[in-house]
Amino acid sequence: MSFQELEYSLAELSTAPHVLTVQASGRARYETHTNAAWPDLPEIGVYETTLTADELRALNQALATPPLRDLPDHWGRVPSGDRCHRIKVRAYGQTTEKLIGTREPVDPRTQKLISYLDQVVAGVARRPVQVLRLTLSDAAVSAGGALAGVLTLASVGPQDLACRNPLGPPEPAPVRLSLEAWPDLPPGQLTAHHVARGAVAALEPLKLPPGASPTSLVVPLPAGESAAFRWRARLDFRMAGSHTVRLRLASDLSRAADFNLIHGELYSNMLKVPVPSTAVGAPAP
Amino acid sequence: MCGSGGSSSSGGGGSGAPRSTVVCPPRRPNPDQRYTVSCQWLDTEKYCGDDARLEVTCTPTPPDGSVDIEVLHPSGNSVLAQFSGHMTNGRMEGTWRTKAHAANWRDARLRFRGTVTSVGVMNTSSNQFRFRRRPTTEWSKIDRDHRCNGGFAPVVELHDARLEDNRVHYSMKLKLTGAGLSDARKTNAKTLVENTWNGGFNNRKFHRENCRRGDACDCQFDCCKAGFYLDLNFVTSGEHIAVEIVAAPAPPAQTPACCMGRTGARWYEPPFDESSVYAHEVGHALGQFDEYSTGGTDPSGTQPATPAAGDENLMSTGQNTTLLNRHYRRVLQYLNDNAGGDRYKIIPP
Repeated sequence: MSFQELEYSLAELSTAPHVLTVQASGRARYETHTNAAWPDLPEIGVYETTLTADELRALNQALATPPLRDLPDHWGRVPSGDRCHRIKVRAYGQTTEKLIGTREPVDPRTQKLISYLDQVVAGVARRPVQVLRLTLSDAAVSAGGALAGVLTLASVGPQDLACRNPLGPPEPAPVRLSLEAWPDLPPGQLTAHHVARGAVAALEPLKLPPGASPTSLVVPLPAGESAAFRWRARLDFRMAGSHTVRLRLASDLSRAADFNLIHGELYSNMLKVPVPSTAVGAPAP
Repeated sequence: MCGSGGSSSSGGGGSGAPRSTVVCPPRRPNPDQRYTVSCQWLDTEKYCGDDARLEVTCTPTPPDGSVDIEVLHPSGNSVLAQFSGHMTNGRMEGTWRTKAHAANWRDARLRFRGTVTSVGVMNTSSNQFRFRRRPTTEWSKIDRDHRCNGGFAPVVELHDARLEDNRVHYSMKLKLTGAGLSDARKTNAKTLVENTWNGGFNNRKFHRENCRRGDACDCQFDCCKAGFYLDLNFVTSGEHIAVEIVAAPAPPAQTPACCMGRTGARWYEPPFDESSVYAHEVGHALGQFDEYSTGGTDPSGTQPATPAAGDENLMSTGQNTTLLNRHYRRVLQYLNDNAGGDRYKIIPP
C-alpha cells in the first residue's frame, strides 16, 4: 500500500525542525531552518521537486519492507533536547510515527530507512525554491577592539521570499543578531572554549529592496534581490592575531503581514580578520 | 465601628439563637458602681492572615457603648493594632486580622487590652494569642515522572525536598561522567543554575490562599508567606541523575543541544549558551517541560508548546533565563502537600 503523506524531520533546532514532506503524487518539499551542520553553505530555505515514478516507487518500497510500523524506535525514551529524527507516514486512515534519538543504539533496519530518507533529502535540497543567504563582508577590528562589517541578506532561489527585518521592531518576536569569533589555531589546539560570542550592537541600512523600510517588520526579497546593513559589535578577544568571524541571525517568527517568513537560525560565511594586540582586553566603549 | 485590623459583634453570650427583644431605656453609668472587665482571646492560635476572635465582658452590665481594643506588643510597651467594638448587654466580641509583627513571630505571645469606654474601665486579656506555625518536614526524595507529548521520555522530578520554616528547600545532586567539569566550571555551573532558579523566585512568594489580606498582603515575614531555594551539587555518589559531560566540538562545528532525563542525560561543555542551557536542563529534572515545538512538551498545556508573545522563558528560548509562576507549580504542589491542609498559591499571580 502506498503512503498518502510522508513527513521526515530532524530536530536540529529547537524551534523548527528540518522537514521533508512527500505527497502521494511525488511532490516533495524540504524546509531547512538552520545551516549549523553545513557551515560552508550560508543558506536556509525551501526546496521543492517532484519525485519520478521510480523514485516514488522506491520510497514506498523503503517504507514497506519491513513495514514502518514494525521498525524498532525510541518512542517514549528520547530525553528532552535530544537531536531526534521523526518519521511520520499517513496511509489511508492510519498514521504511523517513529522517533529515533541519539542516546540509544539504532536498529540497523531503522538506520537503513533513515539513510535512505537522507538521500531523498539530499536530492530535494538540490532544487532551491526560496532560499535566504547571509553574507558577511568587509569585517575589520579596530585598534580599540570594535568590530564592524557588512551583512547582506539575499534571495538566491527562483522565487520571491520574505524574512524578518534585522532592524525591525522586537515584537512579536525579536531578531537575534550575534557574532562569533575564534582564533586561528592549529587543529587540536582549537576548542569550543575559544569561541567568543557577542550581540551586534548597532545596525544601519545600506540597501533595502523595494517595499521595505528600515522599520518594517518584514523584508520582502524578490528573487535575486538583497538587503545590506552595516553593523558594529564588540567581542571579548582574548588573544591577538588572525581570527575567523561569522554572523548568526536568528528569528522564530514564521508568519507576519501575510508573508510566510524564512525563519530559524542562519550562519554567515566565515571571514578572516586580524585582531590587533590593542584590541585584546579593550574596555567597552 | 471598626478600627485598624479588627471588627466586632456584640450581645450577651454570643449565641446565634433567636431571642425576644425588650426595649429598655438607655442605662447610665452608676458612679458608685465598681465594674469588672474581663478580656480573653476566643481563638488562641491562628495562622497569620486569619481572623482571631476575642471577647470583652463587663459586670455588672454597663450602658451599651464602645470598647477600645489594643493588641499589645509582646513586650507590653507598644500597641500592634487597635480598633473599636460595640458592647451590648455587657459583652463585646471582635476579631483581629492577625498579622505578624516581627521576624520572631513564632515566639510571640500576644495579649490585648480592652477598655469599656462607657464606664472607663480596662483590663488585659487573661490568655495569650500565638501564631500558628506552618509544618516543617525532614528531607525526602521526590521521584516522579511526567509524561511528555511527542514520544519523548517523561520529564522527571528527581531531587530531595524539605519544607523549612521559611521556605521550600530543594536539593539536587548530579554526578558527572565522561569528560566531567573542572572545579571552576562546576562552581560556575552551580552558581548559574542556582541564581537562575532562586533569582527567578526573588520577586515571588508562596502565600496562604486563606490569608484575609489577599494577594496584596504586605507581610514582610515568613508568616503567611514562604520562599523557595534550590541547591545544586555535583557529587561522586548518591546522585539523583548522572550526566555525561561531552566536550563541545571545535568551531566552526556548532555545539549540539544538551539533553536531560532520568537516563541518557548529556551536557556539552561549554554549552552553546552559558547563561541558560544548564539551568534549562536542570529544569527538566524539576519537572519542567520544553516550551518549544520540537521538544518534550506538556500534554496538559499548563506549559504551552509555544509561549505567548512576551512570555518567552528559560524553557522556551535560548539565552533567556526568565521564569514564570508556572515553572514553580511543582514546588507549590510540594508545599501544599505538606502544609497541613492550609493551601498556598504564588503571588503575584
